[in-house]
Amino acid sequence: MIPTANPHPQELPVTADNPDEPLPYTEITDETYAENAARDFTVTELAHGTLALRGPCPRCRAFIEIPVVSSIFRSSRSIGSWARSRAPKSGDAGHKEPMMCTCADDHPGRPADRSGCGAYWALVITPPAR
Amino acid sequence: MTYQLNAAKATEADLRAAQEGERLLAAELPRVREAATAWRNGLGGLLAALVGFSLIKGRSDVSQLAGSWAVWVGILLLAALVAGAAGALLLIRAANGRPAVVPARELLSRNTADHVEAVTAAGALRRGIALTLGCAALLVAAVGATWYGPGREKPVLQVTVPGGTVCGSVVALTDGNLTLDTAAGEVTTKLAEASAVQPLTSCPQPGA
Repeated sequence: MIPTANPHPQELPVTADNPDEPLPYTEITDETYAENAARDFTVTELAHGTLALRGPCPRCRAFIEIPVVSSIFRSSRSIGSWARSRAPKSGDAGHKEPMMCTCADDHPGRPADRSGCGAYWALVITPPAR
Repeated sequence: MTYQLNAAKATEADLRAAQEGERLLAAELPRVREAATAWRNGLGGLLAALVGFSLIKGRSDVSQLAGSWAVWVGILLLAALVAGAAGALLLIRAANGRPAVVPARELLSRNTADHVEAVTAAGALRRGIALTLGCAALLVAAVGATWYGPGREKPVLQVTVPGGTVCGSVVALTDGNLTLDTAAGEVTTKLAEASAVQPLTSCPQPGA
């Protein structure tokens, strides 16, 4: 069996005794998370300035899809009030995008209003040149 | 050409930003639907109020208008109908979505798909609001033109008598004497002496 790198080095490794035990929810980051995500994630450009980043969570390895959007409808009282200018477009400079695991897998200890395993990281997304 | 991803240092603030972003995205589509429903109901009320406004009667028959005014009122009403129908469809689309079947291979995650739909619905909402308000403005313009536009001219009679022709609107007809309101004032002629009586929409201009 080929040994694989521990995706969450700050934690106890999943041992042969508990291979199926789900990781507990922990809000945690590590330099390797961003490095693994930068390597493993694919970017799909959807309509309306929306990017979909797909790949495995660097911590729990669940397959996730993270939308990166250029605008969001914030309030019903302010039509045209859009916030979070984020998704870069061709020709724009790269920008930092905070991300977190959004998987729906079971992670003990996860608060009711949270999703994922608690892992977070950031990527700089650079659009292709015009 | 593809997007390039590079690792960056993350802080707890980034986690909170990501959590807030996910929370906003999860509630985005319901917010758009709620806004669209409110606008649809409000604009429906506005158009209903316009119908009530038209109960205060002015002239209500386009055929009573002068020719060119009647044509323009017809164009305004047609434009109002088109704008109103398009606006209503867009507002309904924004409030309820589009009945579409998506190929399974193009399925996105819920947050992503909801965001794409929310952006589309918000665009439909903005266009629907503009078109519905445009419809209301066109209706007001059409009603105003119908009320205050010049009426169709009364028909006139041109009577040919031995001394020449007399043209004007009928004032009175008594004992075989026809009184016309002409450009030169009221003129009375004897019908028995007339060699021709011709109805016209307007009198010919002097010297024409």
